[in-house]
Amino acid sequence: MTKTTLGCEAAVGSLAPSKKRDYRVTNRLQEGKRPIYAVVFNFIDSRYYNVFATVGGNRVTVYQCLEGGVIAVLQSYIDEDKDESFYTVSWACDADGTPLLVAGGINGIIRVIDAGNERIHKSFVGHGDSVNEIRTQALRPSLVLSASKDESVRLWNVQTGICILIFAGAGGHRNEVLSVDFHPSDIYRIASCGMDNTVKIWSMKEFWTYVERSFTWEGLPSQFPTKYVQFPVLIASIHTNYVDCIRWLGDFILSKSVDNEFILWEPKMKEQSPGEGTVDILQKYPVPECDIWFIKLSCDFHYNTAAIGNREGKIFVWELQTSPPSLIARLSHVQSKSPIRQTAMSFDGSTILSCCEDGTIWRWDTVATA
Amino acid sequence: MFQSAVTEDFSCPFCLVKCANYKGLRYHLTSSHDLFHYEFWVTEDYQVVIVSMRTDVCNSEIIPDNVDPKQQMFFYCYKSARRRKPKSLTQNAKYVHPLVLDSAMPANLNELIDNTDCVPESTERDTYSPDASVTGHSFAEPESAQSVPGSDVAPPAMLQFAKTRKLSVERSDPRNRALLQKRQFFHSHRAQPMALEQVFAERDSEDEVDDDVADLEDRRMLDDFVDVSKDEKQMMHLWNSFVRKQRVLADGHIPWACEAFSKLHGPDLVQSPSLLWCWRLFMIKIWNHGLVESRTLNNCNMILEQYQTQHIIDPNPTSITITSDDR
Repeated sequence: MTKTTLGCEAAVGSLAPSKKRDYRVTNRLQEGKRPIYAVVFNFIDSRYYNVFATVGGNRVTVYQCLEGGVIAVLQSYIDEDKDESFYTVSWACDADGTPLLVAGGINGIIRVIDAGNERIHKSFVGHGDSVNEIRTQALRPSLVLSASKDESVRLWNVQTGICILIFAGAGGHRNEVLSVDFHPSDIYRIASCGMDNTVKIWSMKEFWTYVERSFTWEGLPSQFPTKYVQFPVLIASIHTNYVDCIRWLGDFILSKSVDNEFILWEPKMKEQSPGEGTVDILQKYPVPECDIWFIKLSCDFHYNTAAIGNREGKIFVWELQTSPPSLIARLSHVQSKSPIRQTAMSFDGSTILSCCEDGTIWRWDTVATA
Repeated sequence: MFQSAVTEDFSCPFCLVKCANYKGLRYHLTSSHDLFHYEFWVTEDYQVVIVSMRTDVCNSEIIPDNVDPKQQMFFYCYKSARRRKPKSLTQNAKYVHPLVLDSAMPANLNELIDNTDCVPESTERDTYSPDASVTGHSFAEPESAQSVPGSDVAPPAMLQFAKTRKLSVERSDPRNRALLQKRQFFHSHRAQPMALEQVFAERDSEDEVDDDVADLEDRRMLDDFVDVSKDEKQMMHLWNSFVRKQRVLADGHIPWACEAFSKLHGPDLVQSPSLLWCWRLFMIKIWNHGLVESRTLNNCNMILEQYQTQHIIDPNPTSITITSDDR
């Protein structure tokens, strides 16, 4: 368990918007009646930076953001199981560059959709319960992580359909895992968080040979020697409630609980004794009325800005890397009243999408400021 | 060619002697009815004796030439007491309720059974004789088997199960295969779906220790020690790994383990005097504890000495290859 070091107070951002950039609503779509839990731009492939995917109910939909606030529907996939409710979707990529959509939800079956050929590519079974989040390794876009209600995180190779590693066991999460993320540059490192109020940082270094083997594996996927990673390199208890979102910002971590804020902190690992270490909370980004769980933040490609919705349908756009953090804009619209589960920032942050509990998708675009 | 008999109170299916318990029955059968060969097999719900002909005691007088005695067998099933049929329903001491499983049973087997003075009724159990239905029931009609007096103590499912279990591989395999093919199986640890070939494979490694991970964790655990030297940690790791892989579980295994360890790691030990010293110290420790005799110590040191001389002759011993499963 980690201790918070004393002596340095975290920098708390002010809620007075800097108005550095301003956004206005350019489009609003009613996708259906069921809540939309995830929206994500394709940052994996530069050809498709303006393409995004949403999931809600048993449906996965692919859209394209066009000029002038236009949103075009490209593809829609419906799971044969009416009771499936997708919670998460992530873009990935095959060896030959075919864009893949990886979606998961209440059934715990991960669907890999070949969006290039408009067909199902693979289905991954293994998780014993709902899948709460899926993330793609940007450096190796065939690798995806899934966080599940079954208290485990799994690493998959979407190319070969192999479950490579399972992060669970003696040192694993003690309740649902709600969020995971790959370290942006250290390919061995991942972080996860969940309903046990902890954040865990894991290293795959000792297991990397298995990851490499998964690419060249010729046997049946189920014969692959899947390994259990039981011990994280750091367990951080910095939140006192569910931790529902985690993102790496360089070697720092952005994490969020239900305390009307998300925080930036530095994990300090002890090389000699894994699992122990300290954390140093650097900055706090207040987000009013953000006290329900399963609200996730999103960042632009370079992690300069982050957008996060709240329970009342408002969006807060934070400049991440300034100290103290500065609020760029607070986006609100009279008709946007429903909780926003997730936002998606475009590559340069000029477009923000939000998906809501009431099944709507909102598009916000920057307006030129004088 | 099967026949099954269900009896109560562990009574012998041949002479109806009550044996009180399964063990008693076992002794009774093997001592009093030595014409047969017995396999005793106990499951949660049933205690079953599989009876087959003993080929060595059969002479041509009893067994006709066209009958392979090995193929002739029948089961003895004991029904657990809590589901036993009330005594009042049992007619005329009918402790035995034979069910003919295979209609192809030749008459001479029944003669054989008769000769051995076993089941009094079984001579009429020939299902292909016209009056077979009077007392005998073909297994081909599992529903009717239910109506046989007392047959509820031997549900058809059990017979089926017993049959599948007992039948030789070549006979039961298609049925087993069909059953295994019907549904999807999953690995117990990884929850990954099993391919059909894995389902049929002999190997089930799911409960085994993952040696790679166990080694890793052992190293990590040893790394935490601050008052132990590097060589000592290495020695501990080698020993822990060896003991785990070779399943050295009891005190009695230690002498063997010491010699095997000396053989396996000898070539490396003799090249590192400090590591060798750790190993010798460890052996002295376990000798102190009385786990090994001085003879074992001597044997181990002889092994090590051998490696040492070889090492001096050839400092890079390529010729010494010990089969090593240590990774």
